Amino acid sequence: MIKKRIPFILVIALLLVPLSAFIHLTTGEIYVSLNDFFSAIFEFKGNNSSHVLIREFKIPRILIAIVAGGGLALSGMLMQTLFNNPLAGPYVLGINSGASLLVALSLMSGFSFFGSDIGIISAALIGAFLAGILMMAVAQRIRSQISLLLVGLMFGSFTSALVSILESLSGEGALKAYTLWTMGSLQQVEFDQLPLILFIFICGIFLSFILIKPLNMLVIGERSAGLLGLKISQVRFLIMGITALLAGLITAFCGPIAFVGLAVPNLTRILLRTQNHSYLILGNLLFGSIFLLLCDSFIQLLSKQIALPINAFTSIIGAPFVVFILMRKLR
Amino acid sequence: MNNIKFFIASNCIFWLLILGACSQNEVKNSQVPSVKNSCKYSKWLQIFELEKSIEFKVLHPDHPEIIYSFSCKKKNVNTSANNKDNVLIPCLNIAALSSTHIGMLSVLNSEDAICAVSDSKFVYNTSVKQGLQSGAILSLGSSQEISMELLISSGAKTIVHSAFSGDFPHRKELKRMGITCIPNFDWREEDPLGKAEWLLLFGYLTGKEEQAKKLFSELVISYKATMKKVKKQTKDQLISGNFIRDYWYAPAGESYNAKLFKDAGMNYIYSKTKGTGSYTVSMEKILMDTKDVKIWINPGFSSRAEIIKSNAKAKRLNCFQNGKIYCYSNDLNKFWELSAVQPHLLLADLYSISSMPSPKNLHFYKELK
Repeated sequence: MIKKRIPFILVIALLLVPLSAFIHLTTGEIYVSLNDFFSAIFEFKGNNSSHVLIREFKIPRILIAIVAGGGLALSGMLMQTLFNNPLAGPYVLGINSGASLLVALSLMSGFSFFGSDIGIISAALIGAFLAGILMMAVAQRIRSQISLLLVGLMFGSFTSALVSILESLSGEGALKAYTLWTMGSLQQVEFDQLPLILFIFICGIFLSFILIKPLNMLVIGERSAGLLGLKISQVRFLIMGITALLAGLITAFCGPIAFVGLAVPNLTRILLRTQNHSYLILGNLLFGSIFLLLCDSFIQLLSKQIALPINAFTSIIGAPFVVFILMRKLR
Repeated sequence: MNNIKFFIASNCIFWLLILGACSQNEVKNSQVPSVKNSCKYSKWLQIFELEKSIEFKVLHPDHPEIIYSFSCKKKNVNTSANNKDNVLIPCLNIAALSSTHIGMLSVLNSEDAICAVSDSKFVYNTSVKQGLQSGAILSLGSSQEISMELLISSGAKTIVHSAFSGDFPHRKELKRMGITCIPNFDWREEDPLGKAEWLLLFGYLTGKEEQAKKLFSELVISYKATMKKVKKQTKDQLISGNFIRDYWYAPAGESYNAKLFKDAGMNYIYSKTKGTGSYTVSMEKILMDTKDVKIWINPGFSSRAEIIKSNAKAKRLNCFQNGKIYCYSNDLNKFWELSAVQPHLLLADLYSISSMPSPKNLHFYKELK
């Protein structure tokens, strides 16, 4: 029964991804027919506004919503398994804060390389990785799950304070660029950047699948997994590397997007009711993509009334969900 | 016992703070004098020339019930206690906390009346720059975080501020020290001539009201002369504004900028929209709306490269690829300081842009390369 239920849910989710993408396509302010959509893909003409709209605006936005949703959910799941804590996630544990701090440093440093796309991406990846290593070191000493989350929040506050100091020292242009970056966006990605983003994303998924067995072993606790022959330090390093790669990639291109990495893995566990990471990885990728596509569709629907940044919207939905998880856990 | 004392003391402080905060928001409302208002264009400034004094009324754009009343009296006239703030004129110690205020004082050759400014890096006027260098004029830091200590030590008797976030901080306390805070809502005016009319306020403050009236009537004549040149709206469509992250912010159809475009005969695509502030447009809508637009005004940057750096999607717009882009970036500080008091020159620039293929000798604008 269980064996049939999970694949059934995953197949439904797999079908919901193109459906959500279709909803996203049709909720924009400018209506696009499927005919136009396919003609923009297969017979693209640079002087046709509809084609430009579809190729340069709509397709990158849909694809980055899928990548960001799936990637953040996957990295959140990896963190939760690594820290054996359902409240762990790249945002709560300060991975995003680390990426944001280094991006702020790079944008406000005044060096043109760091202000470039490659500079920002490198900074986000390094920042995410360093923050992950730091949190891992702290996790070794702190056993309480709540204390670890508090440390993560404190790290977030600490980096925010550093960013505030940088803001007060920086010029107007850099300050504006950073402030806009913090709002998060799924609309800044260019069509030409998609191959690189998709390549890194697929690498992250591939590496996660390689780690299915160690991830399943980590569920019983690090000590027990170690006794079963798992090389804990190597696995930790790999998990942190994949998390930093995915979270850093998404943070670099879309800015910080809160709570997806925390809410979706929990939702996936509730729906699938399994600790098998082969299902969890697939589930997180699919549910994360659906979640962010629908969030962004909603933003598109509201765009005539209110200009909502994606980060604000995911926080509005995600924060109550975290409170729900916390209360469920404390009960 | 100590706990009770602490509780009472902390409660007292709390309520004092609450009461203090309330008194800052005191509504100032008084009867309008029966004399005719001298301002013809301004929506938020009223000036009444009475027998012994000049009465100013500054209307709050967001709170119609709030009217700030000021009474200007010559220094040799005895001031009587009333519910208005009294300003003794000519006032030779003005803290001008916005670029437009400096501009208005400078066209009256009254730079010497300025004792303090904010955001000194945006100052264009040479005399004020020299004053800042010599220390005769104090720089108070950012307009959002004015240094009160420096402000008081500057010897300012009148503070003219833009009132972006309501009353000037510590207005009551400053009044007790003999310092009057005058809010200036020129930035909320929808008519360019209404914005320029605030020049009269500075004219009265500095005792140069006749000069201010003359200058204002001249600029009105010049502005209307340019308007008369406009025979019909140009065919080329125009867009204004730029992306801020995911949305395009354009001037709404009833705004100051939209009025300027209309007066210059420009075919602004959002001229029919409602509102006096910004009109927000999604990325995809702006792409489709601007497919026939030939002129892009006021992107807020001084080069095409800067526009792309700010938002790469801008290069997909037809007006970026095939049109002309103009911004007020000929000299940014000059624009911020003088455009409000020289709307006739601003209009002349826009008229040239809309009617000539390669406009030359623009006062504020330049074409972006």
